[in-house]
Amino acid sequence: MARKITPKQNILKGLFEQNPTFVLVLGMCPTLGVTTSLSNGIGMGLSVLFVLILTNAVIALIKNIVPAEIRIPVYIIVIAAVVTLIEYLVNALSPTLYDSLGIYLPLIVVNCIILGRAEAYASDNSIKDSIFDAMGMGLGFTLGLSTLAFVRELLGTGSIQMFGITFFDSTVAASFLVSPPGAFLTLGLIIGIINTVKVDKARKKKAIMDEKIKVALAKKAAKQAAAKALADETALQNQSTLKGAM
Amino acid sequence: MKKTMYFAFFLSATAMIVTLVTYVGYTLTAPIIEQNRIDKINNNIAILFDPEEGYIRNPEQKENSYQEKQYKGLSEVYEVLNSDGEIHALIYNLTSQGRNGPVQVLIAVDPYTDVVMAVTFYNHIETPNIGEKYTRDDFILGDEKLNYQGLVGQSVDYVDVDVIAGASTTWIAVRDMFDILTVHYEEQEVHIDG
Repeated sequence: MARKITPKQNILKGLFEQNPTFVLVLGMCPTLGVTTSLSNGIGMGLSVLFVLILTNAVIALIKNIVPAEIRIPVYIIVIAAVVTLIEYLVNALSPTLYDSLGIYLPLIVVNCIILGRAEAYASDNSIKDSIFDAMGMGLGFTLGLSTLAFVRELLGTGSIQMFGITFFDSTVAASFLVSPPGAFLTLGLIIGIINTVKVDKARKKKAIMDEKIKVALAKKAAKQAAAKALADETALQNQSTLKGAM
Repeated sequence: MKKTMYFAFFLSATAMIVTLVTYVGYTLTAPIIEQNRIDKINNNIAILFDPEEGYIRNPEQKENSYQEKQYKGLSEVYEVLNSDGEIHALIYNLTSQGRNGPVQVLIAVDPYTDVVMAVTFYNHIETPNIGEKYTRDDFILGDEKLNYQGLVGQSVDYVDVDVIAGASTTWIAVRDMFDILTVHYEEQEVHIDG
């Protein structure tokens, strides 16, 4: 039986352990395409978050009435409807963001995170669990996109602009990072840093475990030696008692 | 056969339900989206011609958007009326691919004399270095001293865009937009006698 995880664990799993951008490397099309500015990254991430929550909830709700043979087309229809609604909403509430996201907004329909979570999680779990899974994955995707966009915008343009406010401004910039090859390079570097930290952490953890095993083995060996010495002593005493009796 | 029919019916029913839901969403957001579009056009016009001086968009102008290949990048053309209600200028809203992303520009043309009246790059992410010189409003709006590229005052038949070494992508983007303007101006016979 699968281990039941709490809502908090479910969210943390999507944020860090199974982060869609840096660990699962999913949804690369918008990840590389829209992360030219922090506001774009956050906007795209939040759009995917809302689509994920709604689709996971709807799919978890209808999973028992959808015939298994046609579940994928049904999921795609549901996802397409939700994405269309989000597209209308973004266009109405933030036309600037809508223009910036461009073609990547309708392309959320074919984002593998959405269909992946629908098929791998929502179709097998309760509505509540599916919503928390969607929140974790959506927030993880937003975190991934924001991190990448922050690095690219800061180093690529020399400034960070959000809500019309410039948080940092410099005339020195590596404009290459804002271009498409710069997206690959930045993503690769961030994944490399994360993996280096992870490997280092695992190595340290292994070293601590090895030390603990070593100590435990030494203790076990000492115990065995003590037990053997005791047994030898007892045997010697028994022998001398026998000799005395004879 | 029976099963296939059931699947077809199920998919059709699902499609109908989601279409209904999205239609409701469209109905609720369509008026806001249309208002946003009108506001955006008015804001764009206000960048070049101050509404306080009586310049407004022609309210009777039919909606125009271009899908034709030769007008690729041309979003719309706005008619600007002066305080007497006569056409004062035409504003071309154009987009072209710059070095880092799309460069969006408004080009005002005098339809009586066929010359460029004003140019403003209202949205772009060209980097703040040599490439940005093409897209700096203070270099190209009106004032002769600041008319860096000399775009204002040129005839729409052929607009010469200065080449800046090291910023060819931005230069090509700006040149492309003027090429589209020229093609549209000639093909649609935009010139007004008078």
